[in-house]
Amino acid sequence: MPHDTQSADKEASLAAWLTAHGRVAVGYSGGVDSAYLAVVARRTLGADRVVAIIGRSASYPAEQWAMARRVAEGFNIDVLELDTEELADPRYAANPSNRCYFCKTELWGKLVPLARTHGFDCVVDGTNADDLRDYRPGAQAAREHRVASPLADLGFTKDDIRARSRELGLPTWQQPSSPCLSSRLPYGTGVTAERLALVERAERALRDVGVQGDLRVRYHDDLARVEVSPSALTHWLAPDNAARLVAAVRAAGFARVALDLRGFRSGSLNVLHGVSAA
Amino acid sequence: MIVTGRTLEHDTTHDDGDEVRAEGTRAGLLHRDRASALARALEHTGLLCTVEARAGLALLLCDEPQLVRLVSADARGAVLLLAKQHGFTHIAVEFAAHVTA
Repeated sequence: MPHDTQSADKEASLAAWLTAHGRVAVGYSGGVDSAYLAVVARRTLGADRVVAIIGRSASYPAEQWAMARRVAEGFNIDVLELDTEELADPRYAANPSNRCYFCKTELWGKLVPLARTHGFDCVVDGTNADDLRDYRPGAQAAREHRVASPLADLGFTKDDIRARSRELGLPTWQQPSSPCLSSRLPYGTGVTAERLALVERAERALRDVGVQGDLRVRYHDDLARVEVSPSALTHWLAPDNAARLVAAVRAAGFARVALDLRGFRSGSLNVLHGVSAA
Repeated sequence: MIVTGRTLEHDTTHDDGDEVRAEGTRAGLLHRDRASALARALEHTGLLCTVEARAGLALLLCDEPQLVRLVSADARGAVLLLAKQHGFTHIAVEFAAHVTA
């Protein structure tokens, strides 16, 4: 069966799932997955039966928030926002390998009650089927708070979501994956607002000098290890381009700059610290 | 070769200080050995550089003429293979002071 047909069939299943649940609150970041889920929910259920809820903190990039608001406005989705304080939790700030569990516990611990006060008993997130293959301790917190993951349950892969997002006219369809900024810090390196801001400044500066597609600035104390799309490596290793890359990252505040020779890979620091396979 | 204190620093969170320092030293020596071996292997391919080991990350420091060699995808592929053979999960090239805007 052609991929487009499979994706459309999954979307029909998702619409049926949403209809059966009546009213849903979407844990919403403006990333590829949650944006798609919010838009399908809005189209399926109508404006009054869907709310998208954003949790904001220092680990949530400002650029991502802007995209979240843009999509919500463009598709007429009601939005609520709340502040999360995961950095104030020493268990999170110590940056253990299950850091995401403490973040999501903080998020869902605030978001689910907020949804209920607005009459939404069903809370969903944008976890997809591909995510289930990686190390995702945050998923446990979602289960503990009875947050449903219909995209994963119905077998949506990232490719499915991108294909359907394109079809629906979402600006996120080709947006790179965008996990929280804390994912740029190796496990065991404390998460602080200053370090997150440093990484965010460096990534924004690299976008400004023309880095497109996947991008991560991995924090290694004084050193920034930059991961770009593998197809872009040849470009950024050329001396003139390397000079622009270096200048951008140094201006952001890093003393040393390195380019990863393998290029971007999701969960790169999990591999470096033996949490997942190379 | 440069050996960082990262592994030692990480291990000092354990209770038994002497034992941990010994483990850290052994780990540091292991990193240094791997870095040295990788640098030698790279030299055999014609790439002259210093290798700094930070746990699973090999950091190459080379001058600009050497850096230009890495623009070739084939050259990068060979470097990646050697890094993997020497036990590194990640390899990056540092843009040193000579690479300035």
